[in-house]
Amino acid sequence: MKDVIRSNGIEIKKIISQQIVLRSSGNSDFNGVVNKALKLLPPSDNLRIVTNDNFILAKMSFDQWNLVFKKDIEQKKFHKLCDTFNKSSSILATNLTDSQIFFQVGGDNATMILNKLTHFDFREKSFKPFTAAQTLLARIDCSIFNLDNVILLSCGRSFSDYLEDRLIDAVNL
Amino acid sequence: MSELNLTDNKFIQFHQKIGFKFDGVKYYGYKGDTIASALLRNNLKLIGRSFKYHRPRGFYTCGIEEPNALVQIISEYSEPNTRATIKKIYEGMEIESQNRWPSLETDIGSINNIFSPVFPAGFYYKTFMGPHKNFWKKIYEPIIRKAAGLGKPPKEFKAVSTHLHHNVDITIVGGGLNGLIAAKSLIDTKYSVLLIDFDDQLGGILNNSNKVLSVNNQTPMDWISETVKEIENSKNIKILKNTLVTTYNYINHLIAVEDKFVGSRPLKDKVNSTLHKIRTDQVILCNGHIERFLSFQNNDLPGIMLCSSFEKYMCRYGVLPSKETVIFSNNSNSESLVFSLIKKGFKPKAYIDSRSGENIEPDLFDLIRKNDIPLYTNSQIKGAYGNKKLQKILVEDSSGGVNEIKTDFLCLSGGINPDVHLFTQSKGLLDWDEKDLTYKPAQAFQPTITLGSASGQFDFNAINKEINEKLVIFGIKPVQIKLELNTSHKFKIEKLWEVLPQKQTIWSKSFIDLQNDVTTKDIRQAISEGFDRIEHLKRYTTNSMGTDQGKISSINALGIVSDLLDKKVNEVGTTIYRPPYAPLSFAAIAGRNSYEYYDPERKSPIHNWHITNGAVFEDVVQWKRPWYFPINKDETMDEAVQRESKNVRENAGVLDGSTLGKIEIKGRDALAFMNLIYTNSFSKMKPGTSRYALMLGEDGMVKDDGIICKISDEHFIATTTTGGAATVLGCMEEYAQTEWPNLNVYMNSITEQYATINISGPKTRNIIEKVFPEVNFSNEAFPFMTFQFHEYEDTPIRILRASFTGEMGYEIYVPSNQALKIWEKIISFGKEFGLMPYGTETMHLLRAEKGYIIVGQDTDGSITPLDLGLDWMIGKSKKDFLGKRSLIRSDTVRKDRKQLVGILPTNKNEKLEEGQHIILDKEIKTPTPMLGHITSCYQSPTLGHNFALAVIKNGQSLIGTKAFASTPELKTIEVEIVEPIFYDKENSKLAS
Amino acid sequence: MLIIDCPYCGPRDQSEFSNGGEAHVKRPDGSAEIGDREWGEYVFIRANPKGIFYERWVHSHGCRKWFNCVRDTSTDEILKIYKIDEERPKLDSFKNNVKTPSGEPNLGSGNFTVKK
Repeated sequence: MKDVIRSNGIEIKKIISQQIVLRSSGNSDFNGVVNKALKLLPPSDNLRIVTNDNFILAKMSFDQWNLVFKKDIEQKKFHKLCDTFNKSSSILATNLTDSQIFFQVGGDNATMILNKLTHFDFREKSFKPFTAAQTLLARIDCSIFNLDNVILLSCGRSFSDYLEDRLIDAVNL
Repeated sequence: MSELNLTDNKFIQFHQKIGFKFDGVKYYGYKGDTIASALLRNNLKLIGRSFKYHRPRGFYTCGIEEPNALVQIISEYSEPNTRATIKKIYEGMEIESQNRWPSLETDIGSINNIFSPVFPAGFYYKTFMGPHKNFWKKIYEPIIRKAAGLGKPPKEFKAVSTHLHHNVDITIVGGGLNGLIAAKSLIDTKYSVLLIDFDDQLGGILNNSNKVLSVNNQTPMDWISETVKEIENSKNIKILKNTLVTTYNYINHLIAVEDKFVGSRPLKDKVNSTLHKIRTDQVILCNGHIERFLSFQNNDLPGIMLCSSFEKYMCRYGVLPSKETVIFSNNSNSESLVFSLIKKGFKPKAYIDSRSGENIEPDLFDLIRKNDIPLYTNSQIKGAYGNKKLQKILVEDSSGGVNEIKTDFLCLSGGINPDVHLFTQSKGLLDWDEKDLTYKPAQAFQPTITLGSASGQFDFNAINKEINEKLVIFGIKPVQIKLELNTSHKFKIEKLWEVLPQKQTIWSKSFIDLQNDVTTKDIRQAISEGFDRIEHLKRYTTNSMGTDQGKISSINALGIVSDLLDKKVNEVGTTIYRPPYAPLSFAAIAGRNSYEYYDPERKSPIHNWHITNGAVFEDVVQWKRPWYFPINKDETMDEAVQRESKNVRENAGVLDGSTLGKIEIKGRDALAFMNLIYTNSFSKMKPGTSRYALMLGEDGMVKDDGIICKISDEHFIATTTTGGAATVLGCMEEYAQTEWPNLNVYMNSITEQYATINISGPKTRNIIEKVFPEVNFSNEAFPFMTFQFHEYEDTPIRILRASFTGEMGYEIYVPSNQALKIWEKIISFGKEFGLMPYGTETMHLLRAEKGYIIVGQDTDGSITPLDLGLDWMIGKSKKDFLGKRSLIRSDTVRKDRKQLVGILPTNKNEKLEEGQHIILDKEIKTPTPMLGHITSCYQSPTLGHNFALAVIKNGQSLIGTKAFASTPELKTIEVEIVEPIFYDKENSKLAS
Repeated sequence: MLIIDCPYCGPRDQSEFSNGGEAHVKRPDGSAEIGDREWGEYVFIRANPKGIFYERWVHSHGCRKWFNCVRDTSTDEILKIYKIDEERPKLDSFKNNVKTPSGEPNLGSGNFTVKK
């Protein structure tokens, strides 16, 4: 975890988290496999997030669930977990730990400042706590997770320097 | 300082003097002044020269509708075309007038006014046609551009601007009387509300005139400050001041620009303006009205101004533009000005009204009589005269007699229009009001409410009823506002668009568009020439096409046209008001998406190493890729590329290939899916092997290529080109969802998960065996086009044996977080074998020697696999794949298609260039039939001369013949057409 | 900018979406029995009417799901959004039907400013 900026009523931290992206039709087999491995039933409503002490599991699209690890686990265990999901030929589990960078965004002005970079409607009626969304922020694809008190933002790793610059720029200007 | 100051004004801070320069002369104004109010304070009335005839012009209005007073702000990166009537002054501001030379007083361009009879409507279209087509471009246009126009574009320009998005329930445009009442009634409701006003003071008409004497028994000023305080203290309403809504798009999407430095010099590196992008459920337009002018001879002279603008200068800016003005009106809106003047102890020099005495408001009539103001009823101004300023007017009275009045100032009112620009931008429809003689909003297309004069409601007494009726949908408590007025509450007007002059000469000018110098004569001429549709007429005469969009005059033009055509105004219609409402700067539109953030930058996980090692970068889509690695600052790109290429051929080189697209594909039907997406057949492929594959569009043209690794029938990893990564994934997803939803298949992009390290060259094996000692890299254990998974210090990696250089090579796929570590290890272990990093340019050279294509360089969307000689890659036994059927269309089986060939100069010292045409004739005669063009061309360090790839008509059958490459100097170079491969034709190196 | 009600993510700004042209164009399989004309029409020919149009969109910067919609191209109104596997709605179920010869509705096309 690295502090990016703390100013003007917003606090941004950069995080690398273990992450697995799961693809499936979301049938009962899938629910069973996931529940057994994580003790967490995958949400069936689109954009819904479920969490426990270890994981954030969000349904990001009709066939996509993002599994974000709240705390890192041992590499061997992590790969074993991936393999467990991938045993089923109708589930694709991809390790995307190295693929995305997370920014944890909090503070009273968080959404106002993010709205310098995105059209996204952060009002509670449109973006309820414990829902997620994929949208454009600073003209790049981002995922956002509303964890009630804090927003988790992720972008492709290759864009992370760019996005970090843009976030700092948006806070300072 | 000036006897024109009204020092009891509350908005201008008379204790704070501000110095500024206009055309090099120093003037003083006060805090709160606009350029216009400050110059008027200094009794300066000439502000600029007109667009076409260079006529002297003054301040016509006191707001954004201003057609004349455009100035250049030298102290702000020379910002041109700034409206002097809204731009506030600050200490040290430097302003210049525009469109004059050598000076505003003596402008040589004003000779155009004398020649004006030869500049009628459509002048340019008719005149500059000959004698040769080049005359327009080379002679006429440059001269016209120099003479005509507005300000000069700034040369050095770097304004900082940000964007800010809003998502709200209700947006109120305009914080005048109606806007404030509407906002106040929404305090502490469930709605999030944005209240936007262009001024830095809310209150609108209450500040700008004396029409309203009290609101709910308070002075307007007290009522405003109390109401604004209540709104500011509410949690659900946000106020944006100094913000102009310029655009009203579909689905209640508004664009507004906020000036962050009103009345102060913009600071460098601070945000100068914010572009607000507002999405709202409901819009309430309270943006008021605009007064019209009237057309008569020389109605453009400095010293002529609109009535309500004169009153606004008095009330809002505490300056009296003139102590003695004549007023000319056809409606009741001028009443308030008379009242305001008398209240301040002044009186008009004369009051002229086109209406008869009994039609003039009785209050006004009494006021004029009581104060002994010369009154001309049933009268009209025939013309205004003077040299660079108004000196006298001619008035035709009710008896038909013509009277001369000497005056230096004249106020005009030709009626008022609801400011319908935003409403029509929202696609709402207008309707002509025969009584009030103006277009009013009639039918909204979007959830739009109009209030007050913006809705055409000119009666102050109807305010409560209108608000309560229209805002009932929000469930607000009914409002009850009590207004005390100084004037009659009902608006009355009599039709008058133009007064014809006493004597018409060819120099007579009655303007209908001040900014574009369009006269009523031009309108008549356009109609007589058949341009009688209003949209045609607008473009032919350029009426209302200036930056002010004819805000004070376009309705007058409609009135004149309707009279000329003897049609109702509704039948004539209006032209469409298009966004933006007023000009906004490109800097505001660009926001932060400019300069360093012009395009998002993507970096490979090894990027920092490249920087440390002196790489020169190349943009490939959004990626920054090392182009070449000069060993010192003296080494040129050519030298570096020759050195890098030679080294790969002799020793080994390493390339950062991380930008390659990578897609993981999995599912029960993955094999069937891959067989449909790519031309190749993957059915007989063994797990652990890989294959070079082509992807076509449905038109049969090559769209992308890459290497497919088969893990099992249910699991594949595909690579794509750097540029094609997003398209290929998108294409796979599209077909999986739309055409073959029955196939069980999923894909994830793993482009950024894995870095790709490509090592190739004859010494590759020595290096890689040292880096991964536990892996057996022998030909038998690890043959060409196979891949293996391994672990490297607990990191799972994948090694693929493949080559894009023609040498033996491996691609190592490493999780990005470990990539730098492994890269550095390879570099250090490879040193003893002469390993060097190389960039994209060397990669391109090496692959071209080997005849490997680059999709998008050697192909251009019109090349099939057959054109490339890649027939072997087509799974002919497959029933279907993307674009298969197109490969047997009559067009794709044509014999004379352009096909990929190699090109060598006959004289080996000649240099070829990419893009050169290949032709058959040694002498270039125009037109010369072209065979095709060179797509890739390099100097080969291995061959010792130039070589090229080209696509030429019927190329495959021309191999072995001679042709010519044409140079830009129209010379030709003799070339041989050869097979498109120049290195290791036997492929002995790949599997060595 | 439109607001498009993605059937999976709800209403979002148009900038998140990409247009995929005419909907309900059946892809013939790629076999040789398909005639040049039929295949050529599938590859190259798309309708582009003024008025009501069935078209495809993809939420390309969101959930990446394809869906269909009915849009009045003369007013930009999106009249119906439905999933890719759902039946297409009938034209006469939309009240904003094309009436004038040029396909111009009285309100919303932006080509008229005055009530007639």
